[in-house]
Amino acid sequence: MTVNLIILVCLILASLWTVMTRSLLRSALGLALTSIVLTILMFRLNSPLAAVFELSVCSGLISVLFISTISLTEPMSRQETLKHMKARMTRFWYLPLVIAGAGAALSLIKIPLDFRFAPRETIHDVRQILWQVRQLDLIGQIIILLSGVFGVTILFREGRKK
Amino acid sequence: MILIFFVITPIAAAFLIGLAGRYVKNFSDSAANLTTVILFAASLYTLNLVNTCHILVYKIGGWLPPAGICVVADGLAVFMLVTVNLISLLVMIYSINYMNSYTEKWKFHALYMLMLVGMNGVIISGDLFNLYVFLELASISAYALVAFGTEASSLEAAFKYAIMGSIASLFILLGIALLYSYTSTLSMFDIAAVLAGKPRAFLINFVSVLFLAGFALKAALVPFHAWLPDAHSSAPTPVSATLSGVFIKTLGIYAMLRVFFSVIGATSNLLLVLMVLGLVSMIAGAFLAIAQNDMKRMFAYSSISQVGYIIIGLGCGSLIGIAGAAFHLFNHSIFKSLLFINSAAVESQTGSRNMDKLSGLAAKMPLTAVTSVMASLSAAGLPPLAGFWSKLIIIMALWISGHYIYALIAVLASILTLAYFLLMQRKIFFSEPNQELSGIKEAGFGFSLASIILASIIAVVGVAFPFLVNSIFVPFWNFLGV
Repeated sequence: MTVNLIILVCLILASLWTVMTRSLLRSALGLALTSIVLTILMFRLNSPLAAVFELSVCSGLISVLFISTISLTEPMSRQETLKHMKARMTRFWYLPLVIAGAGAALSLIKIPLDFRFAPRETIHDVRQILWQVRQLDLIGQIIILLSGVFGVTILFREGRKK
Repeated sequence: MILIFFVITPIAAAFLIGLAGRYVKNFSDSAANLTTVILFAASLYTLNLVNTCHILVYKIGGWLPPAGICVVADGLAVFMLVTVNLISLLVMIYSINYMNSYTEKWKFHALYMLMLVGMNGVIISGDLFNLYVFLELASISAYALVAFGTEASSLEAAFKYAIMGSIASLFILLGIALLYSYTSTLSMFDIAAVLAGKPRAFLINFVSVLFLAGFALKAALVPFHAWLPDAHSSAPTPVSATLSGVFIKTLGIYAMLRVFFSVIGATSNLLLVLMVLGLVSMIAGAFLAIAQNDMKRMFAYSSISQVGYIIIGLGCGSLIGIAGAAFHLFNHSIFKSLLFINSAAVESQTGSRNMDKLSGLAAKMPLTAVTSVMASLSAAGLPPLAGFWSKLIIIMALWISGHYIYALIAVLASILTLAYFLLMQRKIFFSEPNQELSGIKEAGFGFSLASIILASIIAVVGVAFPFLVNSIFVPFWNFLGV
């Protein structure tokens, strides 16, 4: 329990560094670090498959995508960066308080969880869940990803005809 | 089997448009229009099936719940399917003309098809996680569609909408996760059965709050409405018409209705919260609409007000209240889509949506003027148009359930609605013509056809309501198990 709490604190610190750091590149690295800490937590909570997905996709693939995209951009000047950072701080100063408050409230509420896995005879392993039992979800999620990518391409085109 | 067709057909259309839309001229227009025609015909066929079988269930891959996924259509779902696919069809018809001013039109059609997949998926889903997946799909497509103009205002509106929409999705996902942890199933039917067998835990109230916040954000109820006016006014008009006409209702109201009335169970406290949210939205939306100069922005605030009527009807919790709310949902889809088409016609001819700069268009655009008057009067609830009946049913439901003050305020909000719509009509269509606006004529064939169909629906449903009453109320008896 104590180790999990330490990991959770590390997770919050890594997330804070991700959103507060001035450099975009460091922000991407912070995201990868957050994913790695989350992976450790998932391993500790007996969810090895979710942990492997988190490690390979979030800290691996997505970080590569972010870093390669950032390498194509022009960095902002130091003054501009500071200006943006200040604006962000004034706009979102209350967010850490909201998160801390929500965490405290949730821990006080002590939600009763009564989780039971689905019966063994209906599901044999995660492959079966992914590819057969919940295939519509899987198709839906693949389409969500593609729609997201497709949606982003719209932002980089010329909107109206001259 | 027909149910899965509502998801697969638009996916296939989006895929084909993505492949061929760029290279084959007019392919995306034809494919999108054909798909919406097929889907509308399929929704009418499903309506017929549900009238005889009462409920349709299809188990995907033959896997049974609680592990497998089911798609389900009962009276309420099929009613929504007809509404969504009808509006999509009409929006596609007029976007043939309207979207010509944008580049890469095929991207619009592909994304629109994906949004349609999401909306149809939410309606037929019998599984909570599946509902979330389709809700996300529809939302992501909508964010991109709002940004389609790529002007600074569109991008800002899309960003704001994406942030608030993501927060809403997060609330909903957290609610689903907690409900799953409590019941060990995601099937709506099974969750309802498990919850019925247990005493109502604090967790369920907490989950209700999460769902309420999430769906209220999606439905843009006051005070969760900040994204809607920007998104509606900055998006291309076919997208505004869909967002206002069916999108916020499918993702917000229908999903809320399904989760609260079919799964968790609506308590008296929840109904009271719905009544208050509905009341505040109804009044605030109407007052904010009066102050607008931009036509689309005014319609957006008007949508908040009209959604307030729907929610207040649901808040009654009675059969007549829910039926009135659903009927108003249908009517609002029709008249608000028509008003957005009118605004698109005016904008395409004059280049402006600012009501202070427009005047005397009734003589130059008679069809737009007449249909716009019909839509406005239906929105204000004037007899014998369709909007009158749905508002009357909601006010009757409020009166019967003893909420006299709410009923009175609903009548007063209706007068406010009439005031801002008449003000709009006077400014745009029936004032002295402005010399700068000479040489204007009626917009293209797509606009006219869609306007005539929608105006006819308003008139026919209104005049023939006494004959239609059974076909509107009966599906809800099925839904409520009466």
